[in-house]
Amino acid sequence: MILDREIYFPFPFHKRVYLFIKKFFYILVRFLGRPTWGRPKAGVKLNIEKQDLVLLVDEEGKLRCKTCRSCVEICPTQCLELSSRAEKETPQSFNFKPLDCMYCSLCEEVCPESAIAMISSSNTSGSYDQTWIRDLNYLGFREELNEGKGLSLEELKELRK
Amino acid sequence: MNNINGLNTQSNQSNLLRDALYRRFGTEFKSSHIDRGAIEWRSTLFYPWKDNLKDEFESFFNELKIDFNFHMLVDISLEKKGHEKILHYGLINLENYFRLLVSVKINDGPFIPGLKHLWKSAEGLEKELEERHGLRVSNGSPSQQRSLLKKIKKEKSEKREGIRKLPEYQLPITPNQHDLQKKWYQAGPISQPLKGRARLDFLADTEKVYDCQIETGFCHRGFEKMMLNKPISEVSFFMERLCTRDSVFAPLIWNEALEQRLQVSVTEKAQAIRMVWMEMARIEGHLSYLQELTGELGFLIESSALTELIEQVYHLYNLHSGKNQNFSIFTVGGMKKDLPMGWATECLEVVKYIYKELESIQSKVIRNKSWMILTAANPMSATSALEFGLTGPNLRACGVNYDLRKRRPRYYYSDVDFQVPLGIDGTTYDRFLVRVEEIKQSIKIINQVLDHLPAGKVNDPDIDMEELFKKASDTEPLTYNMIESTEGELGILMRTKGKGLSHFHIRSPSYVHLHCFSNLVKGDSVANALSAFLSLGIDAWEMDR
Repeated sequence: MILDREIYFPFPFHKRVYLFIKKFFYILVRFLGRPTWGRPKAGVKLNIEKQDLVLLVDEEGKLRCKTCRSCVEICPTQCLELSSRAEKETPQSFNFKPLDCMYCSLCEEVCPESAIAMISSSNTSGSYDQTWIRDLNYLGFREELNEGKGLSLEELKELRK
Repeated sequence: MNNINGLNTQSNQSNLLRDALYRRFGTEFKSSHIDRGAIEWRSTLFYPWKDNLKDEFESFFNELKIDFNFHMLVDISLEKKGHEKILHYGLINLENYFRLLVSVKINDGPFIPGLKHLWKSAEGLEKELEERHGLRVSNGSPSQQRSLLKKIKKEKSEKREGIRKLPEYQLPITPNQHDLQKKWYQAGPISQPLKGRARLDFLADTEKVYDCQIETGFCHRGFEKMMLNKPISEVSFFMERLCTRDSVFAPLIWNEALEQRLQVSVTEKAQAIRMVWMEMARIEGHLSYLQELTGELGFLIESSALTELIEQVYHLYNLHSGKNQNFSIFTVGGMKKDLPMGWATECLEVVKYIYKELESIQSKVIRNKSWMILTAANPMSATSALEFGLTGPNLRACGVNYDLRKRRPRYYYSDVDFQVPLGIDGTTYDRFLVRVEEIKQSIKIINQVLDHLPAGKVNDPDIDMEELFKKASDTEPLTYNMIESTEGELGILMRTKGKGLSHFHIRSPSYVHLHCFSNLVKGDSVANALSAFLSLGIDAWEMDR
């Protein structure tokens, strides 16, 4: 079987012009639709912006968390560790590994008490070097959050507006 | 017996040729070696060699080439029987498809007469004799590198690198600008286009390549020597590691040779499954070839799309055998496992997907002007391709219609409808086109075979292997078996002795193609050397002896 004779010649001029215009319009239309050039669209907030985990407090200033462990179970990277003395109590220890976390914010969605949240932070990547594991005191009562008093749910909603 | 040995393809013309050979070399042409049923296509000729018979030796081979049209020298191998040394020359007459195995007894003379002036492929093959066995060929210059021999001294000053010497480049009396820039450049042993380890040296300036030296057997596992110490039952597993391209053809050819040797028949279903596996390996080999070529020449999107298709083939391998490579699934008399449930339908779906994807990929490459400029290099004529002993798609790209599946059909290849694609100029573009078309043809074969898959068992459970291996004895003749693998004719020449082997030789396509490459590149640009190397589909593991 001898192969087709046409294969041995490049496309004729008019065909090449047609292919060029087709490709050109494809690129043009594609980028006119969403002129983002690789960046996220305006109005869409990626989870990457929420870079920090916070444990919220109630009106009395105690943690809202009741150790139902649903966030630990759903976490795909297993970056959370929880332990408490008894069930349905405030946790004794709560450890978070920021290097393992991929900021999917599933823990926030699944929490029935809305005790856990992701917020944006001004931390650079180098700041994690000192704290590979973040404990309960840092997550709930660090100095950035109301001078160590903790962040309540209403304050979080105001912050997100 | 089935049509496994290709007895049905005997033609009258080949009988005429045989008679003519009888008449010319009557006494030396042993009749008992010709009519042996199972291996009738092969004939042997014992020609006693003496020291003063050099001219007679050369005129004899000259006569074979010119009068009897044996245009291809396929292989040379040296057999040692005690103190005796025998050289086997494999020749092919393409017009009548007649194969001749000339066996010559040699004494411990000073040298062997070379055949480089008759067949160019002898250059590479005689190099092996020099470097591995320490023989000296008269026409060739005495080799300095001896890389295949193990006579390496332990002193630090004379390491392996010290033994290898490149020919010194001497400046002409009135050098011009290009002559001053000439220099030896080393390629390999580890680089991306090379599969396995090999070393090439180019004498080049900034634009052109002037010379290319090959170090044969850089990666020396001692593959053939290793087989001689193994019992027959273990050889199949080693054969799977012959090349990096696929692990189907090499173990299959070994099992076929044993079947031929012990006269075991293969069941019908096993024959059909073997055909499917062979075509699958051909698809896999060609896809990985296309992936490398497109990737190296800058068509990255197409090459990444082709990797997905290769994984689809791996998936099918995995379902049947449980492994992606080195599957020990072939045995004497058939296959080890039957097909799992629903494998055939899945195979048909995958094959359909590959065909569809391949069409969309080829539409972006074929007739693309930039691709055609890059690949319109290193043309080769049909006559030079035959002289260099090329086989497979590289030969077909030059326009020679030679395919073992058509010429010597075994299994159901004679019943299946498929075509052999041929190129025109033998450029890189042609080699690429032929392979793309071959993938489509082998998809066509798989479809036809799986539509008419015969029922029954895949192997004969009554075969007692130990009893069969006991049959083998030293008096039995040589067995030569060959197959149309992805890159050409893969063959083995063997003689069994007791439970083991007394002689074992592999005829691999890559070894011949590499020596062709060194001649192909000379006088061409440096940029084309890479595409020429990739387009020949050379696998460095396969060159190992």
